[in-house]
Amino acid sequence: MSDRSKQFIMVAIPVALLIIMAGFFFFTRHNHDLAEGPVGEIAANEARSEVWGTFYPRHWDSYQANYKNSDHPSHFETKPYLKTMYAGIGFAAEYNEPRAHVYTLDDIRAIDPARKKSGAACNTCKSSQVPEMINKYGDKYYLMTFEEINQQLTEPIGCLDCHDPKTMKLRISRPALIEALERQGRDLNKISNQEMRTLVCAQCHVTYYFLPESKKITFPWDKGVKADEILAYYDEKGFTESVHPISGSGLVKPRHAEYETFIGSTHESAGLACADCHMPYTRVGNVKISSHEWISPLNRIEQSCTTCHRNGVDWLRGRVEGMQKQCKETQDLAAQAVLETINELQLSRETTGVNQEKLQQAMDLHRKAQWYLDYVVVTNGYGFHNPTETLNNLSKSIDYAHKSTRLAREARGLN
Amino acid sequence: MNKVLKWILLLAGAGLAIMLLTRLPVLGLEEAGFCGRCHVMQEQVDTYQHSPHQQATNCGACHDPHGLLTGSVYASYTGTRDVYRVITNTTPEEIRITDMSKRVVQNNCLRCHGDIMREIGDTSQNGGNHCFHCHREIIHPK
Repeated sequence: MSDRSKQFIMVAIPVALLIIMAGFFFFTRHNHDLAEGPVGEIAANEARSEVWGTFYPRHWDSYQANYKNSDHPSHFETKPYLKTMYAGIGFAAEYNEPRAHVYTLDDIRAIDPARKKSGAACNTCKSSQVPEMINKYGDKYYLMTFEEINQQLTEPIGCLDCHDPKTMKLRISRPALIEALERQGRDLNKISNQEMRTLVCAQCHVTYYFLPESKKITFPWDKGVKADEILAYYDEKGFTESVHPISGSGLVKPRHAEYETFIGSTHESAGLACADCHMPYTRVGNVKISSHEWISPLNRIEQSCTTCHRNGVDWLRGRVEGMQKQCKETQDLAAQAVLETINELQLSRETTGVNQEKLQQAMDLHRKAQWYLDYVVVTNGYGFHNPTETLNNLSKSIDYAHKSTRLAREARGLN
Repeated sequence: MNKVLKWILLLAGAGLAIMLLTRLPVLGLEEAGFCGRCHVMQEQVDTYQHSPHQQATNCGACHDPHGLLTGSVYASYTGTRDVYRVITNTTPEEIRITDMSKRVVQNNCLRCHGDIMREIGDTSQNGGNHCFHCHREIIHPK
């Protein structure tokens, strides 16, 4: 090697090192590492949320805030027509607005006994200990009595329902959702974190039914998750949950279909998850957390809405409440139409020599009318989870109810 | 042959040196004053200048990777592309962020705001939303 090359190398190496070190320094100078991953060791089946809380004090604080959300007025106060719609089933005895997750066990223990007839399965979304119970008893769980399971429960809905204790990642703990997704052909390992922020809610905030023999909780989604598709699923199976004692129609009962309604809505199409509005990222001291106080976004518009919508709190509240008012008004109109149908069906059934074929058709239409109306009534949010779809469902309810009323009158010779 | 190689190396070295110049603060090539010289950037620059970020950042702080080499190569590429678009009058009516640019901006959000996000982490991971999906109006609404 010549002297010149040696000199060149002697200069070039320190210069290169200096440039690399300077680059590294300037690159890392402003960088903050994100602390990720679990903080403490939590046992695999730890259902006591306060144990988790010792490691996640900020999240625990926001979870504790749920105790403030303690009102649960009766639905009958604002929807008196429900008593007639629900005649013959437990819901007619008592049906209240929901309150915070922390009260699930208190509330189910206090509810009218008419609502507990379905047995152990009623506990499924009331306690973090339920997945363990289902593991312990297998399919026998669904056939046990309400008390057999309920007396073993001490923890309301909490951390374990949605989080893996080892990794803190979101997880699905309820078999019904896992099975429904598998029947849809979904690969559970390929679900994005953003969708999980919706699916953990969809473990419970969905409509379901009990399989006739095994009483197993099942999501009726095999044809799709929309009201029409779910009704088509029940119709195809010839499934009827109860017979209305006044009208004689065979009915199916929708339940809190928040997830199904939200799918396809404006906000869902924009890539949002339940948690984006109901668990907004909230500043606590010098850090942000996903709030674990599950309340209506209307109670914290600044955290939930104004990050994206810069129109001001009052304007936003006006928009949401305006839509909810329109949905409620339309819902009340549909309810009047359905009550009229129930009344006409009763009159026709009491008439001798009634046209049985027309009466049966009218009953089938009442089944549809009440399905679409009830689907909206039982879904929290007064239509805001998907306003256009809600109004669409209500319009179908009104149409089916009017057709049913006409047929019921024709059946006894009236026009 | 040796001569050709020498020229190629020389040109490459010169090219790299020019690219590195984009990161030289005194030239101001990352500043809104420079980016706003083209009319197409006017709205972005105007709104940016009324935002809180105007006091702490410039265009390049968010839109270029933070590394010396990656940042200068990326800035050279996007800058050249933008100049080409302006000269040939092919700038889209509605300028949308590219997927690569989304990654760059997201990393720069977390570069400064990683502390406050330490419990939540990078929301864009695994199919999630970027910071600016929601905070879209915070820097430049247009």
